[in-house]
Amino acid sequence: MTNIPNATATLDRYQSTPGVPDEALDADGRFRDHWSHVGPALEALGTEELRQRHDDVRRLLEADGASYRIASSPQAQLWQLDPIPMVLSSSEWATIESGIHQRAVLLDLVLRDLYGPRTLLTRGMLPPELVFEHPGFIRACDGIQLSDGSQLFTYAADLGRDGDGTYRVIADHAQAPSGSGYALENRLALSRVFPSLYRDAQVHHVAPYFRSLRAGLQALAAHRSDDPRIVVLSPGTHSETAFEHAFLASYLGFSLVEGADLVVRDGSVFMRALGRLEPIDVILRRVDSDWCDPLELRGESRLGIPGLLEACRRGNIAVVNTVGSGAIENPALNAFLPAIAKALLGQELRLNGPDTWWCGNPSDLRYVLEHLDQLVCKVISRDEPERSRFGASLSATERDELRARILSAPARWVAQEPLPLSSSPTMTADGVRPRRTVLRTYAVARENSFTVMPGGLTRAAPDADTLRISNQAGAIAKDTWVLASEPEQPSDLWLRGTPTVSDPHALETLSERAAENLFWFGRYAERAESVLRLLRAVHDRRNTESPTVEGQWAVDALLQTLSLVTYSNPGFFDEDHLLHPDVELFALSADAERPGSLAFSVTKFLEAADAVRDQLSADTWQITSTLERQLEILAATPVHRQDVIQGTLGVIMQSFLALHGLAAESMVRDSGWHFMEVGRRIERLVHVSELLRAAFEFERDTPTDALVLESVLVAAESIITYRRRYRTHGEVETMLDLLIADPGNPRSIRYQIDRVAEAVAGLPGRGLGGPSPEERHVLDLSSAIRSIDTAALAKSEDKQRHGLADALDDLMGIARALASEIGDRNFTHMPPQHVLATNSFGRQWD
Amino acid sequence: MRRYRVVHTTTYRYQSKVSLSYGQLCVLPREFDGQRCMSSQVEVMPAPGDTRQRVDFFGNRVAYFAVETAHDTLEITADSEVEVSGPRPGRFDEPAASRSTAEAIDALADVVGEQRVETAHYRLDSPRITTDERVHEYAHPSFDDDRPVIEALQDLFQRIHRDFSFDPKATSVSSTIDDLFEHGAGVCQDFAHLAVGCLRSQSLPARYVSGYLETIPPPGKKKIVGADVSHAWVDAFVPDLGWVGIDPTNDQFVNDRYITTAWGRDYGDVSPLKGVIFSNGGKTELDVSVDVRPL
Repeated sequence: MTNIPNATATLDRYQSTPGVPDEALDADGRFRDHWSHVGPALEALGTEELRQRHDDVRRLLEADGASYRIASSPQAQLWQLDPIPMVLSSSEWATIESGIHQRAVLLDLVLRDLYGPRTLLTRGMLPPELVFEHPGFIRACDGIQLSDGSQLFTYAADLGRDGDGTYRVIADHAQAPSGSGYALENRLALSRVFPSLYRDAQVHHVAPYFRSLRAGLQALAAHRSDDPRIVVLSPGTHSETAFEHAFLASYLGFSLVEGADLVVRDGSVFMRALGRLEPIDVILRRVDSDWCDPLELRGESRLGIPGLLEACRRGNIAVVNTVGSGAIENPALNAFLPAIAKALLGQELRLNGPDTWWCGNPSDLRYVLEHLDQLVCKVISRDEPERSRFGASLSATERDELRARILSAPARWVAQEPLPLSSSPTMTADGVRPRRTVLRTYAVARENSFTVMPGGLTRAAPDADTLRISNQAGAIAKDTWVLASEPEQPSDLWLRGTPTVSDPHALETLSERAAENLFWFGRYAERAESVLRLLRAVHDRRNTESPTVEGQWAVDALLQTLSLVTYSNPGFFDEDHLLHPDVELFALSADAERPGSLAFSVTKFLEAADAVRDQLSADTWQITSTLERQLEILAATPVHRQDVIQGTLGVIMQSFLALHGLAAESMVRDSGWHFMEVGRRIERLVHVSELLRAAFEFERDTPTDALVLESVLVAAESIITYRRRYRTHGEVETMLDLLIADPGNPRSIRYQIDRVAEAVAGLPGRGLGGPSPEERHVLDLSSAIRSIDTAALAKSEDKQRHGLADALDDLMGIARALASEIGDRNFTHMPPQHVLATNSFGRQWD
Repeated sequence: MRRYRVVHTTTYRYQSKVSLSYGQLCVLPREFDGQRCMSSQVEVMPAPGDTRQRVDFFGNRVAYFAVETAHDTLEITADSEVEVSGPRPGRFDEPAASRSTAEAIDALADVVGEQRVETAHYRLDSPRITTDERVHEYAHPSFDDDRPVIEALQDLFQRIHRDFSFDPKATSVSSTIDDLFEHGAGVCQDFAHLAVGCLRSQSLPARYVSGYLETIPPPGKKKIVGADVSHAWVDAFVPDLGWVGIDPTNDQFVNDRYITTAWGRDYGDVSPLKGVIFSNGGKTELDVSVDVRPL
């Protein structure tokens, strides 16, 4: 777009695209009334400041770990949020709100009918083929409804403007509408970056919507319990919107679970909590219907719970949205909804879809085939790839192909009048530019009505020409500001909510999977830090040592120690690697595929953290996103750039130090913390033992050993204390005192054993009576460490310290046995799920 | 009017222990004009912790069960007594039977209300039955415009019977119509899928029916217990006549020796047993025994 300066130009010389209505500017290029505050205020900031704020937005999102996963990409990417909000006037919002409300009520009635009496079909108000051809209509869900008879719990609609500026519904979302959590995150970020602008603009708050969501979920099981157990069912950390699942779970205060965390017993749903089954009353479902129950739906699904539909039928669990709700995500419905609204509600439909022709109807089909070049053709189901075809942009051959496809299954096709959509000022690399936008609005069922979120998730196209707007195609989100006609009361999730119900069991509702991930969170964090410290000590020794023979020998000894500690075989026991250590050293830092490397442990740590997102403090995400970035940098750095590598390692170290700070000061000492703590302590115990054994089992000449000893003390973060305490010179015996036996040194084995004892005592499910198997291992560790005589261990025989090796092996053996005991007793691993083979043969009759 | 006792036993023997097992069984006779179920019971060994019977979307009887104790053998026995009166006598003499196929298809337009909704499922493609070009072409010769629709149905099952041979090794439970064309052989399930596809390709509603067929031993031989099998055939919808059962496997219209358990769009809707188990894998041996005994 050319950019001609002009007297009425506003907002960084922002100009709308000729012929495309703009949200901020009127036809004369002046701010619209409802932009009269926000527009000039943003304009006054200027481009540079706006860019600055955009960076602030990114930093905040990064700190919150707000990510989104593109299906084709292995890595989650940062959520893209524009610094310029979408602004809606109070009066226009009133129209939208009433339209969304009516549409939600209507679609709920349609769903109730489709999975109930189906009178819409028998009375001819909806052609049966239109419903039955849609994969979202799931026959097994027939008759399943919520306790109050309703079907639709959350609803979202994508809205776009038509040529007259009227909002139309581009798509209805009922399967498991996503994005409300991102809308909340958008608000949190933007209101922090523009505090005074946000305050002065008098924007409707979105928190009340989430309060309704929470209260609505509780009400679903009100007939079963005063304090219903509610979980958020996620497909897992690889889901596109995994961030949102965890974010919503922790914001609402529910457990985040995956299918394997739940089990159906006696027709009810339970969570595999630590040591027992915890009954569940409500599931907020983010797994698509088809994948929810491998017994009755897709047998290959590992994301669901066998028997879930049976539990739904018996009314023992409320799953929302109800399985099968995807049936109304059908654009062909638009052709029939106006008449259905009149019949069921006695009202005109307030919010229409685009003009729609369903090809299953012969006269519609004829019209569509005659006007292919003017219409958008879609398959009625969202599962189809490449679902929208803009007739105008197709070649003659493509149009013929489309015609043939439609004719082969007309009931599966729908055609709509394309919507021109409006544009909104959006920050781009070239400054503020018009981008087409779509607004997703949300409603949640509440006491036979719906609460509409005042706001929503606006998405802008990534470039000037795009009309199809989706996150998968790189859309940019915008916070959506609905202007209030009067100032809003302060509001947050917890204010003016339902009466407080304290949850005495909250500490024990940790799922086994969450507990296991916290255990490994602790172990991998420690493993990463230990390897990192050793890598740095080796690096320092290589760089500071003048090239003496002993210096070289010490470096060699340390490199081989590194190989032993990281279980690398042959590692530096290979002559070539020892002569040219850089490549192997780099691999031990940066190769995430290599078990034992720093990058491997950090990656595993991040996976564990991701899996327990809802359990961790929000500050954790700043640390994990830093770690993710450092791993990327590390992997992309050439081996010879030691400066970059060391810098990166430094940042990673700081991140782990910050993490320890959080674990110490920001985590409640509940079962989860104790699992993390015991994992971390066992890991450090094993690491210090491995390090000492690898470095000192064999005695070298004194000058070499003195250098090795110093580096080991550096790697074990004990050099300063050692120097202060033993001023003269380094000796193996005194070093062993400090690193093995000293109860006051947070890096000593003795210290780890004391902490392991405390952490084990804090694990759940300690029975009465004698010591548990874990406690027996702890007693073994305590007696083993008390019987150690460091003077004797320091002695060698034929240059080998057998006593040291044996004592450390003994300690490591007990520690590893303890770790597996904790695993066996707390984390039951279900054997894998299989589909039962079946058979049905007929035989000829003669 | 015939009466039968049907005992259908399915036994799974697992190489490694199964800790948890869920199943959905669809082997109990359904009731409709032409068949009554006098009694039926299901026994699952080891005893399930939870079990319940219900009627599914298509009106079939299904039983849910969950075995929550570790086991290496699972045995499911369904034992039913059925009274079959068979199709309405003289129906082929009714005027609707002598309509041409084209007239019958035209008459579909007058089908409204619940029957319209019920038949709609059976006019569309279903997960295991796609009416592609090949199916369409195969069906075409049977549905000559002038031929009465009942003769067209007969011609269709006769042709399938003639063109394909019966061979349990040629196909498997998950085979498609394409597989049948490719091998030129299959079992009742494959023939029924093809016949359903052919009827739908002509716009006639058709459904897949599962059940049993009384077998008659060769003269002089004794009937062997458990040697019967589950069977599958096809119901075609003829306006004003109703559902007409055809059996391409045995080259005949369905009669009162056919015991119906369930119907649906294709095998997937009426699979006799669906199950999910948790185990460490290994081999599973499956043994099915069916005994159909006239009473």
